[in-house]
Amino acid sequence: MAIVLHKIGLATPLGHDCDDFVNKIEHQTSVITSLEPLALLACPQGSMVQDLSIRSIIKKRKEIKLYTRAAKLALLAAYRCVGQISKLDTALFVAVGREPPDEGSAEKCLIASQRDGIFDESLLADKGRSLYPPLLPLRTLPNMILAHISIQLEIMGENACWAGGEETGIQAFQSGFWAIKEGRCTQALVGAADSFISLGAARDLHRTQIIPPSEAGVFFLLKEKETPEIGDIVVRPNQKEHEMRHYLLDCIGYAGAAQQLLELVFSLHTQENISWGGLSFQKQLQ
Amino acid sequence: MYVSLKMGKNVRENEIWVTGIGIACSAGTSFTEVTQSILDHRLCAQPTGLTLPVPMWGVCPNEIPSHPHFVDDRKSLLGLFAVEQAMHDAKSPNGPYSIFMGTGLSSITPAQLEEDLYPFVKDGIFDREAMAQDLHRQTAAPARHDPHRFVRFLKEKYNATGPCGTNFSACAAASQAIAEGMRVLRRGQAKVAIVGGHDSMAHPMGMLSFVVLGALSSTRCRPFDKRRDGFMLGEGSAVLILERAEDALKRGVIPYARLCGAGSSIDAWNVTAPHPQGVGAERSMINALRDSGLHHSDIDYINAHGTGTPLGDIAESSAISRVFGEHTPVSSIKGALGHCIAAAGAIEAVVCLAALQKQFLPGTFGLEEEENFEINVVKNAQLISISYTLSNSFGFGGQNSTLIFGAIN
Repeated sequence: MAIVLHKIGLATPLGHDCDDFVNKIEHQTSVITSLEPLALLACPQGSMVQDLSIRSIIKKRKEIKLYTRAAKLALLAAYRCVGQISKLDTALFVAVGREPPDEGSAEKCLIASQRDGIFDESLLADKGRSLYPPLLPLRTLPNMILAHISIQLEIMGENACWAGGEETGIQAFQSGFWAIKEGRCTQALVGAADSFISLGAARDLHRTQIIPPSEAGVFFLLKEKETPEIGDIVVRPNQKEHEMRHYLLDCIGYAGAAQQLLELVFSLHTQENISWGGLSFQKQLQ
Repeated sequence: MYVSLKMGKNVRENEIWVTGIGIACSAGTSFTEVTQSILDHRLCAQPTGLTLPVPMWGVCPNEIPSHPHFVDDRKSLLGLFAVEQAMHDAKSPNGPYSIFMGTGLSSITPAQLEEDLYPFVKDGIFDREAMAQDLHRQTAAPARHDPHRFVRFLKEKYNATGPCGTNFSACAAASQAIAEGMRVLRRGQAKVAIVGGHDSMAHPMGMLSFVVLGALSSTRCRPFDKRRDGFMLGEGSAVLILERAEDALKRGVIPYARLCGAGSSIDAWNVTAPHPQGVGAERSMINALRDSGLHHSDIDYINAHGTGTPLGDIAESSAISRVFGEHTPVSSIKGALGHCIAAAGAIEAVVCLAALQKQFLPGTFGLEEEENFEINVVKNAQLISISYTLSNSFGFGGQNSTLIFGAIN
């Protein structure tokens, strides 16, 4: 039984069509520009996905307010990858970045909870509490990205939410591959989403000298297949490592947890055999 | 398939043993202290002393050593304490190491608010332009908000060359991290797995986020009780050292127990509420039984997630009764220790190991008038012979994770 990479879903500043995405990177097309949400920064350059509309995908529209930018990117990419499926044994492994910053909704609560710059717990318990946005904790928990995908796409199998930097995408991909290989599921949706398009997140990037900020969602559907067909990409365990070429920084900037999986998409479209993250990807030629 | 070893013992191929334990929570800062506390059926949570409507919390009573890398990060200090204790307990096995830790949200302590945010209050509002352009003053903040920070530090400290990761599956995070370490060892991708979880939300802003969600009890946590109204927040860390049985036997270490299997699932139902019939919880337990090659009748004790929330206990007990019937003993320790969020799965795994080692059933502190759930809830700790324990961890967002431990025969 082989494990094949069945489909890829993207939501990137370079578009959501894989061929278009690869073509733009090959031609070193940069979409980095001054962004309105970052206008207060000394250097407001970055790249962002313009259309993040998820209204046509989600079941309960009032839940849109629970979605951060990263959650929207994730759902768009995952949806493009699998469409509407209902599978008990589909696994879901998601890589996320740092906690999404609050964009000002807790501001009134925080200000009401201090006196002359000193925090006062009794003020928090009184005025501060009534001003605290009740939905904020549900937005700032990074694993809500996984929760939203599972609810909207009805995915119920083995799962994990891995968090960190760009290396996190590897962990999510490996988890999905091994879940199929070890017979814990027959297909796995694996991917990553991250966004630095907010004042707080972009400022943190500037502080750590990694610029310009970007965002993306990228998902892969891995499937068990008895006989791979010509053109299928077969994934196997492999210890050799391929040196990823880092074109993305010049084209879109830094997309955090999604960065390495986007690099993988580019490599898969431009090379027949690659080894990455303890796995090999080989196009079935006959 | 069995592997013969020169010591004359037979172990299953790929059997995973727990060879070291480190723990810091409201019940103590060693395996011995925590075991005794659970055996004594003792309340470990303390009054918060806060004006917020949160009377009790389960904070670690002992001083945790500071570390220059984590001066502003209590959950990582708790984690580092547990990791070092576990490695010492396992007699520092040789690698290659793999590290998986479950973690929670970064803290927003009063000191951090006063340093990071309040200097920007101008005329009753935040000066967002000044905040945006402040690139040089508060350079610690980006690192503090990096969830992978602690594992990255451990990776360097122990020169871990095997797979490493930070799990952020809310209250299922530590359980899933332990499961991943087990799988990495089964595949032979490392010789030693350092796994567990760490979390501390025991600060006013952390408490407030649970208050507004209506998750905290207005009195104290009462799992499976008719008057249950939410949980008490706890903090802590627990770390297990996992090794393949053949490697541990060669080193001559005495293991605590076997990690027999793990399973997970997602409710795909609601971001805050569990599935009312606990169908996700049921699948998680079934997946763990399948992974460990055990029958439901093999399980002698279930350490429930048992948060004491009105909906959570209904869903879990419904799932347990469908998988195990009404006779398998079930208890929750959250009424005594509090809910340690991302660390809960690891701390409760340690409670399962204590139960196997001392041969007892932990009780359910806080339970007075039992709800009719059609499961066998253990009220007080009982000495009894047990071979297999199962531990459930369920997270916000519907992620479920189950671990199964077995006694070493």
